[in-house]
Amino acid sequence: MSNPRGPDGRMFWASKIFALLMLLILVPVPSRAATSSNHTVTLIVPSIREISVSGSFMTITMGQPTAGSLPGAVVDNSAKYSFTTNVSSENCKVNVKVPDGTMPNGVTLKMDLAAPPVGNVTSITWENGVNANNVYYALVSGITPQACPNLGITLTLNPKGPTPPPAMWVEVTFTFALFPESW
Amino acid sequence: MRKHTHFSWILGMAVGLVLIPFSVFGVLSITSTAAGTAFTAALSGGAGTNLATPVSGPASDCLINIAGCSSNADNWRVDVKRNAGTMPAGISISVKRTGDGTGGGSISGGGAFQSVGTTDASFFSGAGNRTDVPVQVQLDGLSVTIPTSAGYTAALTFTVVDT
Repeated sequence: MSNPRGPDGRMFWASKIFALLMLLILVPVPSRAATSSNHTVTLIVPSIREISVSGSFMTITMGQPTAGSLPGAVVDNSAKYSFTTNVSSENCKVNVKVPDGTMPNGVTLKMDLAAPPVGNVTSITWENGVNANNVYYALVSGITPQACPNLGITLTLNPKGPTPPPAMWVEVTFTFALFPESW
Repeated sequence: MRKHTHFSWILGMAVGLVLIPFSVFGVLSITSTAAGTAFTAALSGGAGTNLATPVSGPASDCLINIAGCSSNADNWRVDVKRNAGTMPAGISISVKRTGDGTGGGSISGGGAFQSVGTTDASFFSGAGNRTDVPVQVQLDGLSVTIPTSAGYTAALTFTVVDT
């Protein structure tokens, strides 16, 4: 009988080596591990309360009265106001003021603001000794975060009393603040 | 004695073959040179306007490096994803590759802003080591309805994949 391994076992080792090689070849080459790098994205959202009024100056001219009567009321709605806020607060309001002593006798000035989509409006009337005291009055309240462009401002100048009003200059200041905590 | 010689030879060959993938190909790696991008919300045009959106960071805000390639023909792909973090739900994050960086291989894709989701998606691909590949980050969906915050955050994860 012959020895199938051969006299020195070469057949045995050859088959072992072949089997091992086949095993190693068939073992899948491991894919290199993926590595990662992180990048942080940050969004800062500051408190925003901005308001603007179109036109710094506007002139309201009363018509020439007929003899023996006062001039009629004049309505002007050429001015607009815009505001944007991202503050959600019941105290966020649009406020206006007229300085002391700037309203003459014989006339009233009424201001109406168009309402924003969310918010409540009220009007104010200034006359000498009434509301014209350098104090802010809230005309728009209940404002939620919103951007509102070009909302109407209606000013009504109305003679009052027996004397025709003189030429006058009134400065109205708008603020958009957390009423009444800060201005 | 002869059996020992054979055994040593086989063992050495086996170890060598097992180590080939690591010794020849090395470890593919990705790094970025910026820790993050910060955006500050602002109005697009003053009172009456909404927040500007979309807003983009600097073109070279994040520089990505790919290393460990065995040659300029060693292919890879960079995937990108984000986590939810504390970012408001309506905010989307996009990324764009704004340059090729430097390197002897190749690079392609990622040249337009693509929205980043919470699962890995292919961003760009290439071959060979690459240095300082610039990436720009963009945010969209900003609105005044987003509550004020000192900092909403989300993390982008760039992953290099052997292809």
